[in-house]
Amino acid sequence: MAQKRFPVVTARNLSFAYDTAAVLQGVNFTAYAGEMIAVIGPNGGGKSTLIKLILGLIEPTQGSLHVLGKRPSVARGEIGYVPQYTHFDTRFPISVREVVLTGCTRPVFGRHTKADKAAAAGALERVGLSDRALDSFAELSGGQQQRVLIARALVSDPSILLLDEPTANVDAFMSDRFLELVVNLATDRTVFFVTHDTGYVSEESDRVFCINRSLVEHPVAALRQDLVHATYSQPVRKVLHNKHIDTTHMTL
Amino acid sequence: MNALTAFFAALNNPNVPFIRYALFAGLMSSTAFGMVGGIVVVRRISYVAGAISHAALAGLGASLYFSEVHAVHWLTPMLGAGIVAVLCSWIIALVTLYAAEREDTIIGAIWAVGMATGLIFIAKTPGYVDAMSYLFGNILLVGRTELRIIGMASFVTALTVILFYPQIQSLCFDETYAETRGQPTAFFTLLLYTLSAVTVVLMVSTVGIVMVIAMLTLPAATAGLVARRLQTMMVLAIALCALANTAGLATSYYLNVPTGPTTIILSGALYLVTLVLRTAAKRLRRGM
Repeated sequence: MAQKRFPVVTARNLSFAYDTAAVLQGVNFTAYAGEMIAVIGPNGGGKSTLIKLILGLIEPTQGSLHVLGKRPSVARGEIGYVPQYTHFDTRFPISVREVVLTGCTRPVFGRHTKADKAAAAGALERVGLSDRALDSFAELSGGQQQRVLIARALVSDPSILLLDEPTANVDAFMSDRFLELVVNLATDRTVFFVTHDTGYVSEESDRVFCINRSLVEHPVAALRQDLVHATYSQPVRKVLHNKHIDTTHMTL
Repeated sequence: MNALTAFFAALNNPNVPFIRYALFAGLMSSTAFGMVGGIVVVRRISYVAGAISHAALAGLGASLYFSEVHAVHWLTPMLGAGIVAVLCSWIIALVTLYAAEREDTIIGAIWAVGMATGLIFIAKTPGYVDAMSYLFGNILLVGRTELRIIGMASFVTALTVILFYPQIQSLCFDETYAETRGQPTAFFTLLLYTLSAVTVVLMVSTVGIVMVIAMLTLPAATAGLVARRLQTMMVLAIALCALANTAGLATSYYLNVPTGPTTIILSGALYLVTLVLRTAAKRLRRGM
């Protein structure tokens, strides 16, 4: 499909280090419009660092990263971000609609307009939570809270969606429903889906980025179903990184 | 004559204006206390407010010293406390934002060094200085000038919170996300710390340096037990603060005890009662 070949995120020899500790080294990839890319790897392997680089929250120490042909910090408005569940206070006194509206808050000054409120209502409808708009965010289940955060990311109609372990706090049933929603969203935008769950990697993603300091890219077909299933009874990173990924890149 | 009648009689007595001034000060500053208290509680920076309030003693002491020794009379204790409080709030904010230093370390340092500096200035000030009135509050400190300052500072603080409410709410809920939306989070963090500093100084005259942290957090925390939105929490906190200030003043007048501690005890009792009632209500709902 021609639409899928439009590059939205391009990394060339991308490296990042905290002081002298290298977190990412020599990362190269291009993500295209409409792709759903699963990002997997061990804790501390650099997944969250890659997300922060794409968001422009940190600058590369070497190499280049472009989002829609621009520096990430300039392209932030085009990116929707769903953080890890533990990222914030889930008991914060705020309504569901207010959470979604924070996705289109003016940076320095100005209140939400009628158009913002309409966009928030549309985003909530898309994630199936229209009827909970006025409820307290704290009263929702973990899965519902994650859907609200997706609505917040969608309210500005971004071209790119970054999901940082979005199914970490939801049960298997909700996780499946959540993934259906994400797959639907990927039809008209590029989705980066950071996860530890390789079941979703094999079935729903276009490509898999395996990150452990360096990045190794796999088409989903290379992750055979039987091997993916085998990972459920073993530590995921061990199976993946020993069997699917060029082990010369990995330091387990 | 019962307690309330005696209190209202004192309010109308032209010979004891300080009770009226204290009441007005409490009511006017409640707006700032409730709004900023709400932010302090949800952002969990009550210990930052504690450090700022204790460091304010350095400003109080310095203003007393320079006023007595070098005749710098324009430097009132409240102004001196305000300058030092704002400076300290900026130091804590900047260290937290940009230096690889632990926040609790800098909070502890500011807290202790500020108090020590203040006590040295007070010790070197000629004549008798009642340090206790600054540490634990004294309604006699509130005069017409202080009332004007409290009124203006409270108005500016409330206006700032109202104007920047969406940005402040976004920052407090999820700072990293706010940054990804292009919000200047460092600027707003500085703004919030500055507002906390100004509010803390407003409170010093009524509840004193030592108990400011309680008065800033207790009404807001009580409101937080029942409110489901930040703005509701702020409005409730304003009402609770006004109630605690007024009831504290009336009770202390009737019992002839210090106003600051009385106000704090009432606020603490209100918080405990609300907490118990809310917990009981939750358990009842679960049991149904």
